[in-house]
Amino acid sequence: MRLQQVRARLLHREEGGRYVHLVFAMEEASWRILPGQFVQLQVRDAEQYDPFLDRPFSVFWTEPGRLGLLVLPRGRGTRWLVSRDPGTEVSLIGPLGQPWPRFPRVGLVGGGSGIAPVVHYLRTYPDTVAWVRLGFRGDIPAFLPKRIPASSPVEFWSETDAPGARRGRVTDAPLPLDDGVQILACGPPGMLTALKEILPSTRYYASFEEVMGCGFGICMGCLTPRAGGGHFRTCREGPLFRADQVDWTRLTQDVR
Amino acid sequence: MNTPDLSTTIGQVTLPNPLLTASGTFGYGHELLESFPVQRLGAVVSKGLTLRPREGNPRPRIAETRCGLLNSIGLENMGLEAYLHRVLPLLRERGVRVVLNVEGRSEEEFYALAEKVEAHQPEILALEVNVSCPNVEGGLWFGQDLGLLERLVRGMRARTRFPLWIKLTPSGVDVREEARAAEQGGADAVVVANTYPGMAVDVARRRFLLHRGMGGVSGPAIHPLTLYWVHEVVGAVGIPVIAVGGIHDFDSAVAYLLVGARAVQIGSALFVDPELPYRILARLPDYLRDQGFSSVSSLIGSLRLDRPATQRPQT
Repeated sequence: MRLQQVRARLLHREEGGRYVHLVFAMEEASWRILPGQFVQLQVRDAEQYDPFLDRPFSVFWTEPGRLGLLVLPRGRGTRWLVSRDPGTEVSLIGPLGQPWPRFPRVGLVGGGSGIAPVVHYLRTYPDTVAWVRLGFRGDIPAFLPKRIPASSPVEFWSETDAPGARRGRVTDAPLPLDDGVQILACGPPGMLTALKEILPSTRYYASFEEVMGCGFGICMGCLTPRAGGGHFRTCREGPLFRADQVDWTRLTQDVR
Repeated sequence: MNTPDLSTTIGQVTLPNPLLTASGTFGYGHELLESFPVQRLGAVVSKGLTLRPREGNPRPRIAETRCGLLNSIGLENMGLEAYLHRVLPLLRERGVRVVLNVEGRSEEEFYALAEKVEAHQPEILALEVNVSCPNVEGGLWFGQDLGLLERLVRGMRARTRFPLWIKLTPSGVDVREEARAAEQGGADAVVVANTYPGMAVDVARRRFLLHRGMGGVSGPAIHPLTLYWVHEVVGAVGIPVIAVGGIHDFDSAVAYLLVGARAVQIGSALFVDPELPYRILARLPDYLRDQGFSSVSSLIGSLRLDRPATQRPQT
């Protein structure tokens, strides 16, 4: 894996639902960031060192020289990032993580920040996608439908009453498993665990969010417990893992 | 004016420049060979290696703190043997200079590591001995028991001819005393210093941010603390001092050289700015020329409280 550290310049910012959509221009136009990969983004002014660590973001969409990210403001870093004005430059490291595999037929599930890689996959490999289920807490961001290819088989679900969405969680209705479909999912821990309870573990792939030190395998800070003992580096071997390769008990127990 | 000489010597070891990576902040060293010109670094210091593979601590292992971070990785590593067979050849074939960082959980394990290295005669510059990790020998810190520290260095010295760099803890009573004990034991250099023990708490959930509760603080926040100890240790021992702690830009690296460090190690800044060592390296010749120095060696130790202020050198 060859990674690069480049300057990214904020071009555009728009809010929708709980999300902020950020569009960056990158000096490296030749980058190809595949679905499921992420970047590490600086969330501070260049010569201030707080917050010190970069933040990992799944890529929402790419075009030559352009990069779209979907940010849920939660802590100091993300709040700093979503309040920048266009023109702001930050350091960006990428592409990071293993791309999601390209299967002949997939179902996609996304929630929270996990909407981003699902949409990137759908845009990149539209012909392979049997169905998509996206879960929200609150309204569907107005900018989202524009980023989804027309007549894609996408269902929106929301835990609150939201226009254009079914009320409930993505696991509230059966997920179609016919035609040997493989399921790729990214979202909050509760969603990934709920999916594990209802999906065959050899056809279910979950992409995990972790606090990361570096994002490219040199700090050994982020890990996903491996079934049968040991662990994976979430950033380097993942962040997507087949469900039967993960020790789900340790995944939830570790955190004190 | 000629191009300034960037080389530096640490005992028997000569490095083409004084910029190294710090153990534990650059993986095993081979991860970024495709991404950066790693062979241009003075040397790469390996992840801490133990006699047998270690799994490390449960997550969370990382917590951000103001201007830095806490880590509690717990010495996860593939073991010395696997490193020598699987990783070292990848680095050597690219011309990367390597310092091996080793860590024992007991005196006996340290000696076994020294013997194993001696038996393999790997292509390395030096052994960096981590005596600054907690819970060794019934809860003692090697760095806090000066008699044990001196005996340990002496024991390793008897078992290997490789240069021994002793990496000290800044949490002892006095790092100068640790350095003297290491020197007495026969160390070739001391590395000042490891991370500072620390904690962070999530008040809303009333729990520690790290699984183990405590960890080591690194990052820009610790730079002034370690700069003081480097200055003090340089004045206290005759062996070379290598500085590590909180380097985050050109100035914070050069500050260590000015107070007398013969080389510097860049640590957690590599997580967010992996290009930093190469930028520092690129700027060093101009800085030396602007300040009137012909070499890194002449810059080293030119700012000391225990010496009259140096005149601007004539070139």
